[in-house]
Amino acid sequence: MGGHKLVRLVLQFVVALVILAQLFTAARWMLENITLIGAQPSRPFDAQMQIRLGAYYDLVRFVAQETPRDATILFDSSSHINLDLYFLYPRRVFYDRDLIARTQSIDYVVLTGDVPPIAIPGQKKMLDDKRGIIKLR
Amino acid sequence: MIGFFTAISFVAALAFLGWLALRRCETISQIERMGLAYAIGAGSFSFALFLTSLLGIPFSPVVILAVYLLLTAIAYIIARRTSPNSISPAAIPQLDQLEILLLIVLGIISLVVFVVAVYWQPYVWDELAIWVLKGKLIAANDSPSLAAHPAYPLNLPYQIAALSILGSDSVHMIFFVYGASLALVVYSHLREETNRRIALVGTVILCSTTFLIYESTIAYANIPFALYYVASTLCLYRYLRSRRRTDAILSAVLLGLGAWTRAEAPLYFAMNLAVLVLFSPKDLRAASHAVMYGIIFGALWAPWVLFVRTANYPTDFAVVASSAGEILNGRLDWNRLSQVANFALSRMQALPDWGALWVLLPLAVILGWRQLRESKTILTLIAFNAIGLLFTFYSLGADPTANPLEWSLNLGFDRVALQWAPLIVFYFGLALHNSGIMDGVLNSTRFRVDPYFALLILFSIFAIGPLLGPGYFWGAHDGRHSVYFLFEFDRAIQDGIWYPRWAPDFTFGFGYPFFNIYAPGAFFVGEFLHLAGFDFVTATKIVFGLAVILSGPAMFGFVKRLTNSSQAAFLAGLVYVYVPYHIVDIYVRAALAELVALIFLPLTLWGFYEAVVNPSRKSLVAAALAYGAMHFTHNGIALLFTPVLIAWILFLMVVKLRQRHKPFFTRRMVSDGLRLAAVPLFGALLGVGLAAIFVLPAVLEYQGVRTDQWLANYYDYTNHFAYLFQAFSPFWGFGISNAGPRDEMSFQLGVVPSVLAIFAVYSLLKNANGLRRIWIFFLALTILTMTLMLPFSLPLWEALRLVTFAQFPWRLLTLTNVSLAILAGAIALHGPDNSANRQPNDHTNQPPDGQTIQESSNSTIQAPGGLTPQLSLPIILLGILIVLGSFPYLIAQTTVEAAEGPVSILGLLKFQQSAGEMTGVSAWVTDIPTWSPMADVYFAGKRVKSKIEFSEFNPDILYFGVKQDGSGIRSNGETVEFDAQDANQTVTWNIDYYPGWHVYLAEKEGNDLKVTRELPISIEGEHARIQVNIPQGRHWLVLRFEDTLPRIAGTWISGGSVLLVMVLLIAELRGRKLAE
Repeated sequence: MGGHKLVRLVLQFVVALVILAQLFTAARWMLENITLIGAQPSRPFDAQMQIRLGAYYDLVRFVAQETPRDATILFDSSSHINLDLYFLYPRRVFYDRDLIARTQSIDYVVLTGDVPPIAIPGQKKMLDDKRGIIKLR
Repeated sequence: MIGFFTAISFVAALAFLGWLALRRCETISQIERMGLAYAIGAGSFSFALFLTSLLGIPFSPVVILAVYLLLTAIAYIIARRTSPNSISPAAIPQLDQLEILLLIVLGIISLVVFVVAVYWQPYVWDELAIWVLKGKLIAANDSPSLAAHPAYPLNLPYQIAALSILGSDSVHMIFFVYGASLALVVYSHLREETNRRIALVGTVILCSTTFLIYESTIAYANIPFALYYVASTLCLYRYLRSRRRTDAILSAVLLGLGAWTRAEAPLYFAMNLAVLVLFSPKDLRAASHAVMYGIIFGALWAPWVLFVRTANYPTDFAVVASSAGEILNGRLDWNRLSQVANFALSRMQALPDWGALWVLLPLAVILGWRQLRESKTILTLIAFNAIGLLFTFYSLGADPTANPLEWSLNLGFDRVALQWAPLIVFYFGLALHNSGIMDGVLNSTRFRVDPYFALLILFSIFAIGPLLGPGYFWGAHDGRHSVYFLFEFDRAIQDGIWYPRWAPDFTFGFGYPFFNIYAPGAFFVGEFLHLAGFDFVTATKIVFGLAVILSGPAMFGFVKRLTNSSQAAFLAGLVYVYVPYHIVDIYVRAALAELVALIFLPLTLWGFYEAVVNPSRKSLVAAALAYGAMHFTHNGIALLFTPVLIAWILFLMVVKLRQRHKPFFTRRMVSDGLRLAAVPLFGALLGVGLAAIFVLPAVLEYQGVRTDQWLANYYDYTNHFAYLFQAFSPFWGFGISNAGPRDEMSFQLGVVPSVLAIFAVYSLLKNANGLRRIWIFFLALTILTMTLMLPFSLPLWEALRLVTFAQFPWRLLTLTNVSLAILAGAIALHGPDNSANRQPNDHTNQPPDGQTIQESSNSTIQAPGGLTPQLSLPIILLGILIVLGSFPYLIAQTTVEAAEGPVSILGLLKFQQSAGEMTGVSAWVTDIPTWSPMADVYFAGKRVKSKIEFSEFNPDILYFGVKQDGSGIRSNGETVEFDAQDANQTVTWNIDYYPGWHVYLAEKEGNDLKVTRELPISIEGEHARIQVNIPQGRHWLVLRFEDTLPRIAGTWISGGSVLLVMVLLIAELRGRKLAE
């Protein structure tokens, strides 16, 4: 067996190792996902979002339930801008706290619990001790 | 469900449109056409909808239908003009087994990705915001300007909008189809350039890249863009080789549709155009093709650009242009570039995300070294793409008002790098093909899977069913041990110790030389899985699963070799998997190492069978590897099995000698016998030699640990005999073995294996396949081991010191597992028929299926043209019966999390505290610790930074500079600086003394420590802690657990044995070649 054959053997081994490593990573991904799906195959939309988005989804669902579709909403934190846009559409969503002073058009203020809450008079409805909404008008 | 079928119909309709449109491309294969169909159909459809909306026509189901019908009509008219003869019919390929195997792998991956894709609703913030929300707003006629991220092109949002209007939310379906299309396109191009097998291998590599399959299940435009760009680039590559105009047109159209998908397409267009110009001949025809390339791309890009410009939407054009200008003017920001490059390099190590894909490029360059010049086109395309990748992020970092570069890299690098990955796989396929490195492997036509073997694997899957669910059997006897053994093993590996011997967190942190006395084979496998990205529990579960699944084939191979019957091998393999004690080992005892060792019992019998019957270098190596692997995975099993192995070898020798020598007892027989014994004896020695790295220190240093913990009280073997009724009792339990017959676990043989073994007596009487003596051997083994498990064997246990071989009498069930399984196989054999007088050394008799026995020596690999065994219904029904017989026992008491919490050092300490397990100590310890100062630290939620006992010296006299980041302490020691005011100070480490511990005095020289001398260790107190006297002044102490003479000798013997095995194999190959 010549030296080049040994090199060939080593290369074959490396190629096989690469393919196996690839398959292992894929197997891991597949196993994790199928396990998650298999635990509850008919998971409704809300349960799916709850798994993926966690506590945030509870708040946004709460806001959607407690506000009319034409509401104008101010969030005290802008940590989930795009998700707010999606889940609360067609409500109009703002994040600039100064808007409260400058405009009368805000209907609700959402207290996200991420930042010190806005102290403003209004009808308060809380989801938990930190998060909830204040109805201004 | 309606929404799901709507999405399927939507995808099918658009794919049909693309299929028709591609009919004009006469030169592409049917698979490539299939791969491009949806991309072309969907891209042109959404583009047409966009143009319609620009005309002010509102979006509605009628408009969608009208646009679709119009496009289909146009495609149909164009397709009709194509000569039908120019399209080659799709031939059904004749696939061999390897190709089928690869297709099965691809099928499984595709199926899982499809299920995952259609199961989840969009949930990632930017898929919701950029693509889905936009699509829904288009559907609501909110105008194409829309809410978030107006700068992104609208190919995907228009498709989502159309799907939404048609009443489906199965958005991910679109992205899955793009991902699958990408795989098809890469496959078709590889198939064209190489061969089917390499194309399949390449596609498997691509499709098993986690990030790529993940992207196919979420609604990002990166997968669609990757398809458009990669398909375009591969068409361009083909054009540069063939100069066919069609390929250039297709490449331009695809890139144009890419520009309609993501905003960075012009950059990729510029790169592709540069390659086109660079590698085309400098003539008029090539120039016209380049111009045409630009015009087609521009026609598809311009409407979107004009729309964005007229609507005054923000774009990144200015930032990109300024970055390009910056580079061209020689004002390259090296810091920013190195930040991007460093991030790219760091991603190379992200095995769980990218798998080994990043290794492919250097590997491909090595493989394709000789054809480097011929590969310049594809290498340039890859290099340009890499430059584009770096430039994309370099330019993103140019805008100080935008998001930080680090944020962009973290969020987007992998997604953009997606476009690079398929090109590397493609080049890898080319290099693999051109190098011919895999010819011998992939072009083999000898690989034929025995259907009974496939059936065995299929039937074995039920045995690992409980492992596939969430959670783990934490409450099983050694459930937590198995996970935490791996955890400790990993602690050492993470410290760069390639062969761990010391487990630092045993016994509340005092440590224990666990892997010095407990075979580590199973943990090397588990660690490999853990390093591949699996957590400790999943890695452990996979090792359990592999051990179960592989034990069947091992038995299959051995019995097939013995009997030349696939049916017998199938039944034996299946019984070996499903025999109740095997299931006890998994789900009741969770004995990981022992379970892995069970794979090697039939393999060892097989190896030594060959060594006696068919002595050669190959059989010697096979026997040595099997026996060595058994020692390396479980020393107890190796010890238990060795007497059986000796009996097996002697039995085979006697049978063979009896055939050769009549009369039997002659001087010649003795010398012949000694010659016959040489190969198995050398095989056994070589096997032990291979495992010497473990075996030698384990044997010589075993007296350095206390064993009374494991042999007295509960562990007294006299309390653990089984009772005859228990062998046939269907009782099942998850408890422990107790004194007397009231055991809480099962010791049954299993009703089906027992019945099959009883019926095997019929085969014995009939001398089925001429193997009567072999059935007698295994029947005798079954009866003997059964007898030794019963209480009346106590005198024998005492006389023969059998406890040396088996901790408990019922552990002999391990041996009955083997013998029962082999006996069960006998039932599939018929009468003496045409192989009536076959003996173990007889290799010339014709077995029933017409093959020679020699040819069938590879159990799953048959000779070319060999007959494939026909499946027999009664045998399959027997197989089902074996599975059903054990099916009720296939349960595990799983919980998601252990009572001790997540796998961690704290979890391990809680386990030690609550169960008193993993608290082994060295022989110098007189009082087994029940707590430690380290435990105090861990329970306080802090990290141990030193194991020095700080309470035993005056800090005013002795000062220690412990590194606060914990980097001074490792699993095999500690490095610490000290300053002693006088010379009468001692230092004590809260570590058990065991041979191999050394303490050195060292001085700092630059950044390195230079050892000046070794300090003698004294063993302190009842916990046998390590203590040294230290000199006055400021110095460093280096505490290390090092190799002793037996460990060094063992390592060298193992290394030498591995070398010897390689030499023997090379000699075997060389001999075979010379013979040829």
